[in-house]
Amino acid sequence: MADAHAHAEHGDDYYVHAHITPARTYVLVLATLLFLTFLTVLAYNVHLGDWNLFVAVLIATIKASIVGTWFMHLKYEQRFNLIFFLGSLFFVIIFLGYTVNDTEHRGRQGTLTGVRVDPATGKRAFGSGSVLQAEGEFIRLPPLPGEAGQAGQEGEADRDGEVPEPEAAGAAAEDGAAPTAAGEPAEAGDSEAPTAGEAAAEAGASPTAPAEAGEEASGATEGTEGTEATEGAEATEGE
Amino acid sequence: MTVEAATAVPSDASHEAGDNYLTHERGLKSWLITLDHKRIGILYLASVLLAFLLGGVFAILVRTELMFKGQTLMEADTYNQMFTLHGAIMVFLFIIPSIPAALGNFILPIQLGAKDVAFPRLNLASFYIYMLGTVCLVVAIVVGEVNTGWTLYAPYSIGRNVTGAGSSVLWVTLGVFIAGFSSILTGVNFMATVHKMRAPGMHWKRLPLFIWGLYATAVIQVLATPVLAITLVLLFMEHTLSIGIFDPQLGGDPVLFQHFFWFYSHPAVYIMILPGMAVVNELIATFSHRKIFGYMFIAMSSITLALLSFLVWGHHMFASGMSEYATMVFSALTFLVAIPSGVKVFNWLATLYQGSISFASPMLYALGFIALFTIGGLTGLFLGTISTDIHLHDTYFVVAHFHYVMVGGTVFGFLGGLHYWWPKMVGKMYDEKLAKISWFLVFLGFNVTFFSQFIMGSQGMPRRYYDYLDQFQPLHMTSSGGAYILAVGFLIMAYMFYKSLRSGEKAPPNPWASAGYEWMTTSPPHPHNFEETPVITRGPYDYHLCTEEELWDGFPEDFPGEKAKA
Amino acid sequence: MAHAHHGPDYLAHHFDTPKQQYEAAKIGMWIFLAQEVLFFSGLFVAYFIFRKWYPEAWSVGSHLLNWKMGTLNTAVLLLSSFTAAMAVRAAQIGDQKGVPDKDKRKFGGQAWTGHFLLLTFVFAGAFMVVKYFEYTHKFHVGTLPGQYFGCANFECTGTMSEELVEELRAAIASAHHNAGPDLVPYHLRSFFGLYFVMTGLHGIHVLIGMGLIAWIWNKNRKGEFSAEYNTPVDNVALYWHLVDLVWIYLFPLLYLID
Repeated sequence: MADAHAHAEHGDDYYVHAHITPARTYVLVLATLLFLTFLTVLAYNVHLGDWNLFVAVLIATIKASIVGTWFMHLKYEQRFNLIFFLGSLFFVIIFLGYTVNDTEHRGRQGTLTGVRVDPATGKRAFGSGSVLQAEGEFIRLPPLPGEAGQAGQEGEADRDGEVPEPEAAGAAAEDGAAPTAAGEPAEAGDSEAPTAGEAAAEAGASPTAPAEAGEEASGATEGTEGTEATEGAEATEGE
Repeated sequence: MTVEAATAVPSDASHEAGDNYLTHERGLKSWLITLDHKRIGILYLASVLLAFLLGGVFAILVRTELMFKGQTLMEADTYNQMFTLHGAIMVFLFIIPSIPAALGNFILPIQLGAKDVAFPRLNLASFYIYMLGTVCLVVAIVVGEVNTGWTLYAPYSIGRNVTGAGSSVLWVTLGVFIAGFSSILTGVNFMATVHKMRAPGMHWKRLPLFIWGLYATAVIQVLATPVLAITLVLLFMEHTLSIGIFDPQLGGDPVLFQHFFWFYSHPAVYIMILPGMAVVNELIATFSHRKIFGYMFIAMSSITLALLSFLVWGHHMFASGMSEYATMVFSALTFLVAIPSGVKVFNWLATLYQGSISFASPMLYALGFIALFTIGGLTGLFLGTISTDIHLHDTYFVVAHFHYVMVGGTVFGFLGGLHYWWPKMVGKMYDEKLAKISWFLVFLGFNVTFFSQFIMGSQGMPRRYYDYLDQFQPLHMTSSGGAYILAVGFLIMAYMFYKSLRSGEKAPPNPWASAGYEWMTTSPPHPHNFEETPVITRGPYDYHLCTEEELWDGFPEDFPGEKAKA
Repeated sequence: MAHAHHGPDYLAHHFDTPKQQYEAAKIGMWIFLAQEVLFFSGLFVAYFIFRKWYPEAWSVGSHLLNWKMGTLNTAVLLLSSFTAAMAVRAAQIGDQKGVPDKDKRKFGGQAWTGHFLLLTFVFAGAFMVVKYFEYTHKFHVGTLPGQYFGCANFECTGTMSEELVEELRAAIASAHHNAGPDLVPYHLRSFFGLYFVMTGLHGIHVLIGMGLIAWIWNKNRKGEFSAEYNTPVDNVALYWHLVDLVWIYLFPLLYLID
């Protein structure tokens, strides 16, 4: 339908003249991409500290540029398309940069405690409540089957208890509390486990019953700076 | 309303003026599956006006409730829902699509001398996506309980418990998400159209400023709206699964929601105002009958505004607990916005200078726009200043400020454009006297309503409150009174347009003696806009290059354009 | 409606030349892709902020994911991108009838377009299958988002499955960021919240992509494309490459955190 005749009739600006990339180039591109994937996995297994993220993003960016340049033909695209697409990344940077400029410089709401913490120092932000933030961050795993009852089961289970989460269910109330304190013993079949589980879970649900929990929970909450002063103390006393 | 009227155009018109887009095909189906950008524009116009009516009803209910202290009309909860719905409907269903999707769809390809937008099917799809979003919002209204305010701030909006907003928030989220995609697709379509569909001879410096404005808007629509979409996805997931991104109880950060939300919604303010400015460019040039002053400056100021709009979102969050560094940066950048805005206003004023001005009704809206937008813009500077914002934040001052920009700006621009292009769209003139009366009432009513809110706000009346102290009684009363005047103005306008559809005089191709390209075709236009693809040999404001017949040909007596000539 | 002598069949009435139509389509697609970039950007912003805030949760969370499956999926998607690019190439070459075999370029023409599209579809399917196994495993164990973290199959019994405890222990042990051998970061729930939203939205894009590829494949089968007109193949491939691009970032950011 569109043959040499039509071309002659309409001149150069009428039909599309796509640039056809040699198949070999594509194979080469694919090989490079697979190699870079291998490299990024390799880099993952080398411990570089904070640089791991940098290296990962760098490799990803190289891969993305390769895909863009050859697979997506950006090399041969109209200039506007290139500018607009890359320009969109500029807006992503604005989005990220400005938001991080806030989140990295402000006192943050301490988890579940209403305490504002300066993330730079980890210290309590000026004018906020009296408890440190670190406590809310961790949940202690139940001990290994062999050593049930040794390690602290209490942990920060109670912190969830402080959060009133009505219907959303068992769900919210238990998710944190249950796995930590109640979880493993029940499964492990240790003799005291069932009670431990129940008690801790209950403690999670109602912080007013720490005595029961205390009986089973031996460990205090050092691992997390045990600033959950009230609970931690009561738990230890109970013991 | 508009659709009916359009199909009701007498058939003899088509015989006289040749085939036009209204008579080309007939029947409801030909409208619902049309790919013609003009018909899609009309479909949008009808739906947008309906949304405006709905939002307006909520506004009147809110103002009526606030007329007297204590309960006047409704419970506090109902009141919360009313202002939420007013905001959500006006913003997402009316203002954002009003000028780009309704007027823009109709006018943009004609001004470009193109047969259609680049992707006609996508265009129709975006209309139906918009309708789907509307349906979701209507469901939310029926389900009830949407009382979050249009901003849907977390953590209130994710509340799964008794104190939080209920599941109807999900419907609003869904509705806005969907409507957002309609906006994105329109933006994609317009950008591609402007780039690739210009008539021969129309290089970028001959692009009408309306198109420059819509182009800048489209850039924002494309780049900002997806962020709203992802925000709403996260909100939706937070609501249903508590994923712990925005919920402080789970270690999330509600201020992050505000960042996400305003990364879209501040640029969205420019999605709303830029098209308004774009219309005013056309009106000022046409009714001054003079080449617009500083064409490139106006064009570039639109683009600059579009880019700046992405840099200043934090000024909505000065009181949110955001870091001081961020606050200062956002505040400083906010002042930059005044520069391109000022460039526009001064260029309009310079265009008026020594022009032969005709005070036809569209021009009145344009002049109203300049005055009200200036007030709205300048009060914006108060709010961009951190120290004054702390005092004025969340008061009626803010409400008055953005109504001066959104109503005084965008709605006036929209109405001006609607009056201006009405003859082109339906092929009929309207009653100029009624138009002027309704303009006066709208202008008066608007100022009475919202100027009193500036005063209330500066005295400390918080926004969104159901009740207030005795001292605010007179001002609230005034404000509500103004709202009624405004409503009467709109009713008269509606009657005026209705009358025009029923019995308006037939419009000539160029009733305003404008040099704009869209007036070079018949009214209403041919299905392909122009019988032959036009070749552009002059700019859209080159009055000095227009021949007498180009401007004045085919005029019956007594048309506004004719008066201007005299 | 159409003019008597307008142009080739594939030229829509409102365009003057195939070139104009092609360039408009491409520009529209690229603008749409920019939109996609910003759509996903919100998730990346949230990701970086939370990673900075909760390094332990992110580190442990990543070790709860199966990096081998992630790597496999990366390879599969890269392959699919390759075949998509080859499909476009085949379509661009087109069936040059009357051209001697030796002058034709290899892997060109309608048949090869079809083959490569089919391959792309298959790889996309393979990606989803791997994803399916990953997801079902997480459902089964209970590495779920937000309030459902620890709730196997979304049923919160108040106890954590043994499997999960073991997985947690192993993950904590191998994570470089951790606060202690048996301390589970609370914010794992946010990590999995983001994990599911990110991979879920990406997965939806993959599914949409599969639909588009099938659609294009069918069009190609009916012989609608030629060396002169193959824009839909081109644009669908562009979309597909973007899906790949997103995954290129998702993979190291989610699976490979030190």
